[in-house]
Amino acid sequence: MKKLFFITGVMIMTIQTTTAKLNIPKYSNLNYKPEHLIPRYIDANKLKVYIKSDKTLPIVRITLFIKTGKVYEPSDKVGIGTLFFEMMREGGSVKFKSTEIEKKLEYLGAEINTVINNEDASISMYCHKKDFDEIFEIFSDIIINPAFEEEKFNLKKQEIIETIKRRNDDPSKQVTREALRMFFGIHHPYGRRSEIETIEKITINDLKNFHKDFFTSKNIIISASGDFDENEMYNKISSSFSKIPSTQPNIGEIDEPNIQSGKKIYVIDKRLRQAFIVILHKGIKRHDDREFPLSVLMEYMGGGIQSKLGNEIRSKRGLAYSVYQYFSKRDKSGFIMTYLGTKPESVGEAIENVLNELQKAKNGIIDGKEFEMAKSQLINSFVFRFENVFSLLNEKASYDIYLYPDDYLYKYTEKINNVTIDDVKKIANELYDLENYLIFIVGDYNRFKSQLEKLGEIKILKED
Amino acid sequence: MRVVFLTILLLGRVNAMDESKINELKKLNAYVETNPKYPEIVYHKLKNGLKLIIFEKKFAPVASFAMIFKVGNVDNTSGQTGLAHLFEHMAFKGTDKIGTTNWKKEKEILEKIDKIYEELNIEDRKNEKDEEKIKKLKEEILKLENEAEKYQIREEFWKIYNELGQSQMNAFTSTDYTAYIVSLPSDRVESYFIIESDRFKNPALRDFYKERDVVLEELRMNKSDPSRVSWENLLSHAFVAHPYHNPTIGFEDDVSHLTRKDAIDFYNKFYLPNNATLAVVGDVNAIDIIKLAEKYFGDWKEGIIPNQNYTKEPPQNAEKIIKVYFPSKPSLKIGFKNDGINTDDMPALIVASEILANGNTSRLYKKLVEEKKMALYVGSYYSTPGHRYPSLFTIVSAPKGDTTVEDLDNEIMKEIENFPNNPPNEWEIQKVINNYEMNILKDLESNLEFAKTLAYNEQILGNWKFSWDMIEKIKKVKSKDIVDAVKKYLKRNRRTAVYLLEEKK
Repeated sequence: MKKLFFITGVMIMTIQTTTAKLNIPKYSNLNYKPEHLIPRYIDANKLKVYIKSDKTLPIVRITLFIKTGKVYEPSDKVGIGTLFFEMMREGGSVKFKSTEIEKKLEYLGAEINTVINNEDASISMYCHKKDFDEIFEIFSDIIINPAFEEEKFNLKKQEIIETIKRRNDDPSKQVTREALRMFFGIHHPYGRRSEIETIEKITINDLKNFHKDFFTSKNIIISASGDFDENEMYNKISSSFSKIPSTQPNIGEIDEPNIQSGKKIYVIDKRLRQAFIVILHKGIKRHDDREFPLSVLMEYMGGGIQSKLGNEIRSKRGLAYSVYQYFSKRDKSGFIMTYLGTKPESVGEAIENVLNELQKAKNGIIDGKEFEMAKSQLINSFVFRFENVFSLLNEKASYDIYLYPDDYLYKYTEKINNVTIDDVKKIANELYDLENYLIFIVGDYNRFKSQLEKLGEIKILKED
Repeated sequence: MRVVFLTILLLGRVNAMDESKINELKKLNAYVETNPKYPEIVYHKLKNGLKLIIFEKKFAPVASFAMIFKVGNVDNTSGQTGLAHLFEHMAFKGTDKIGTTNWKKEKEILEKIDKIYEELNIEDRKNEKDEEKIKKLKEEILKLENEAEKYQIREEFWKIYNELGQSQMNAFTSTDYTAYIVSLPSDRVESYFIIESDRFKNPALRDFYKERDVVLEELRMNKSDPSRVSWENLLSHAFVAHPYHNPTIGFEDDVSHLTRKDAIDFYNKFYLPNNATLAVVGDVNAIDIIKLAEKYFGDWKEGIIPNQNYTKEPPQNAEKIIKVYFPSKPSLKIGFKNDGINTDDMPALIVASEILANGNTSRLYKKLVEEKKMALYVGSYYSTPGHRYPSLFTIVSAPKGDTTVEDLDNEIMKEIENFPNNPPNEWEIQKVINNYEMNILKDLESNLEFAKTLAYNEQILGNWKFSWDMIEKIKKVKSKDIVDAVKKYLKRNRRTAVYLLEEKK
């Protein structure tokens, strides 16, 4: 069988395995490049489509990536995106009633799913190839002619309201959400959360406008993979989705968030066995080349048990089960999040140890061997993002929607490989700002109150 | 009615091995599945009893591995609950070759630490503790730990795998089993065998007491999670005699006093090649895999697996309703005792579970979520927490708006009790079959998921073909069988309901 991926034998760097006693062969770092994909465009509206046949299994997957997201919701209708995509999935279409769609999908074991993230969204279908025409007809009608049935609309609204009421049940989700809210500001699109009042205000007409604003061919990319003939698939997609208008999407401008300076500590007092802690530092925006040294730094500092934080907080001191650090980039700003959970008695000790590790990296103390390991991990595990044709296409489309350069994924490992230890020291020095950060804790305050005093002024917030 | 035929055949054709390869595999004493009903699996059992299942899926240059041992928390004796899970953590702590610069010297120190911990445990469990003595012992331990550290290369096991480019490396312990999983670029599969054979033949169990603290943090995390709290309560109240009663992570007092010696004894008893299955799926050659397994796992000594029959759970004969107060919104979990996965009623019970709560067209969803608007969600599963012993048919839900958990529970019971008056129709049954078949396809999309399924089926359910054979059994289920199963099992005197209620400050 023809392989769709290739690994060249080019030596980038030799792995120095850490033990001579166990005779593990030496491997070069993989020089894996995902296959270059050439998109097609629907004639009528220039909608971009990636199509690739894969006959390994008798299934078909199609995904529409849409440039929209929670951050683009109007401030008086926060939550509309979530409601809209729930209704896309369950609210029926002009041709098919929601009950009819549910019955058809569930009977055949097929799926139509929707996802909305902060700055993108998707609608996807999955079915057996023999059912393709039936499911595709439903899928495309949902997308082009959503019905937003009233009964479903009321049900979904109630469900979202109930979910808001339950938003503090899981303390790990609560602490990350609330920390970002205080970091970016409770009214800024990067920080705000849905509220019952804003959900209640949303009307079916608002959903129709949302559809008009974002469902334009300039704002959508389609990927299709599975057991089919590529030309036939192109024709089917083209004939259904040429109806999507080619008007300009209505994506509002987002202001740069005003991130407050100084050390901020917030606590939600809750009688729990563990304290849930988030530390936030300012990160980088999307399309900033510092993402490559920053990726290596994150892997080195907080990318697993072997990382600096994993080692110091978890393995060496037994202070946490869960401890990690990662970065997230958005169009106008970004953040570095350190997350950990520890018993109330060791909150102070755990935070001090985290800050101490960041301070060391900031001062240029980066272990050379562990730095190389972090690079190897990123380079050698890259191939797993492309385990099947479906993920190959989706990776590509999900970067295209953010207007990344066409060769972004192709050059990814090369860029990681070019990162030097000095680049990592530099980015650590820039971003591990030990004078400006935010700490957020959800936990039994009385049991760790005294440990926090030396870290700065504490603000107690009420859970809501 | 239209019956959906799955083209697993197609998969077989794409990957089909030629005659000469099949002959070569046969020479290695391997079995190649040629029945088109099943995927083209290569099965091989080593002389020491280790079972090997290989599926070649030549697509991306990657391979996934799942090693499953038939040992879980159900196998931990009283006083040692949580040991299976703690051992799983210890299996990442290296060997006599990985993680150390001088094992001989390190081991001597670790053994000294063990002795002091034995003493500390005795003192700590006394009613009147000698705090001064405890403090002194802890100081001694700290000193020795610092000494041991001189010979340790911390987390070297992870470091080696990370450098190789591992993906999805993890392990998990359930009541029934322990699984170790990892994916690697396929040009380095030999490393897997080198590292894993050393891992399971020569574990060092270093940093035991620090890792015990990590597990205690995990336990505290679980105790802060309303869903886990209600699951634990369901199992501990539904089972009174069988060890499904115990939480998988263990009781805090037990975990706090587990020793390295306990873990070594546990390892010697259960971590045997004849108690494990390894599944390999991806861009590999089955011949190479068998040779590597023979080379690296061949000298792993088999042993006698301890008797794994535990106290049978007595008949319940009472309805139990448990109210748990927690700082979260209310939810409901119900468990009805079943008689085990291998009983003739199980296929019908599986279908009942799907008809009741799989998807928006299921009966409970339509009634509770759509019609009555009482519930936020509803779901069910036919066998919680495991499959090795009779377990629970479970239903989970959460009330919405002004509905109380009690109202929700009553409505669910009403629907179940009304089930015999409204026997399942053909559409409902065929839907279940179609979904099962599509789920198998979905599993096949991911190397790791498929490896996990194969290893689990073989090691815990007795045959890697279990999923395919179960579909055949489900196809024979009649409407009356489902009604009979619901009448027999979903009864009040077989059930335990946990009401998680909001604790006000």
